[in-house]
Amino acid sequence: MNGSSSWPLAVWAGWFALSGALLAAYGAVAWRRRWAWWRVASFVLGVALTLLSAWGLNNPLASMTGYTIALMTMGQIVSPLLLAGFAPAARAQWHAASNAWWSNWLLDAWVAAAVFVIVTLGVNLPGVFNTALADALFSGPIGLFLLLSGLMFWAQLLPGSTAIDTRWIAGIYGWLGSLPMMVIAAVWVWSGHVLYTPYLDVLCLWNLSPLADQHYAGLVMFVAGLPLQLRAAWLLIMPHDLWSAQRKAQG
Amino acid sequence: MRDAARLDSAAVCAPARRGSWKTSALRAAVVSLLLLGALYGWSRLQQHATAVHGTPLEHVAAPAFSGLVDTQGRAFSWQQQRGDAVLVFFGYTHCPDVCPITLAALAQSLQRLGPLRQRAHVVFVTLDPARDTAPVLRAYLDAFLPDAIGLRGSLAAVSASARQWGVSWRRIDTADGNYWLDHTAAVTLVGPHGHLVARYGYAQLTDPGWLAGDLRTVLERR
Repeated sequence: MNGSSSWPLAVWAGWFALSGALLAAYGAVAWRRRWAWWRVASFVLGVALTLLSAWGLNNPLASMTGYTIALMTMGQIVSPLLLAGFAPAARAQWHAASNAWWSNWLLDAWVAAAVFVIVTLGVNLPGVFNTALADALFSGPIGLFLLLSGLMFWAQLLPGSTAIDTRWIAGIYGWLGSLPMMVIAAVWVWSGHVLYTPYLDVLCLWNLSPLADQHYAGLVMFVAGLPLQLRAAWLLIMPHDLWSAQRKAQG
Repeated sequence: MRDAARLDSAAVCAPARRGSWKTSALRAAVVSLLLLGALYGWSRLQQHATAVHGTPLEHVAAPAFSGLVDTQGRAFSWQQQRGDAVLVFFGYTHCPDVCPITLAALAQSLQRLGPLRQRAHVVFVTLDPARDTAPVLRAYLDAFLPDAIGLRGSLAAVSASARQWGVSWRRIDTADGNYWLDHTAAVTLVGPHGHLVARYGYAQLTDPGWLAGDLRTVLERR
């Protein structure tokens, strides 16, 4: 008797097709606009990590740590890498009138913060988290949810795509946004109980006990939250970067 | 490749088109409500993947207990259990710890079901048919759950059944000529349609409310 099954071939095909389509569309634009090699590398790395994350998402019951690595990679590593693949000027064009139908929503700082906080807290509630443990198919959309919310939030912390005028406000915005994630990480690390009971009867990867597995998952979340906190700190502390130049130019 | 866009500061610096903060707040409120609704629906409206406290199992038909009979000598039929939830546990009456503790935990959970109690049954399969004769098995189960179904059969039939249910076990001979059995101590929940739902290790039975809640979910979802 097996636990909840991992993904069927069709789901894997969907992930690969989505990643391939993203890469092809991006490649065409990057070639035409002659973007810097490191931006292209960043985007390609982001897509590669998306596929690696999919591997971690396909069997969430195998290890909470593995599942968390996959979710956090999707939301906190892949998101900034994909965004960094676009030059700030290109990101600024997302706010153009022709894109208003989506950018008014997805690039609105208030909407992004609401989505990011709700998704971060929501997917970790046992009622939602356990759905993916009951059927691995549910972990795919959860991963995509985190990717989308990560893209929306990180877009507010990068020049061009942000809707926040003031650098230090963006810093505080990023720091506040990272707090729910840090709170969840702290609960996982310091809880004396296994919070997601389906893991209780599972021999986790690397022979970890379910509680130790949960503690490691919390540590992973702490570490995954670092880039966001560093970016927030950078915006708060460091005096000059492209953002400042933009403001100066705006007069 | 040169990053041409970096030079295009005018484009980068073009202020984003934004409405008032009130418009943004309204958008955020709308999206938040939609998202909360989606998350609630996500956790409630699943047809097949019931989130349970136990470890979920693949949604396949429960294996038959071929060659096993109950303490009255009757063969067990899943057909007769249709519409009800069944908890399957493999153990033996001489078990010093896990079996009595597990049966006591099951009894506690079942007590919490109220009117649904009649639709939840326990099947106890003995791994020790040599010592667990029908009367011994019946008397043992009566001490915990008088309505529990006790199944026994030949050693070969029991072994085959245990394998089908993912239960491993081995005999440990002791110095005094006696023996005990080292066995998988997991309870398997079978839903009203005869499909596997979840498996519960001892740690997942410590709170009687967990299994009771899962049984209620499974029985009320019919």
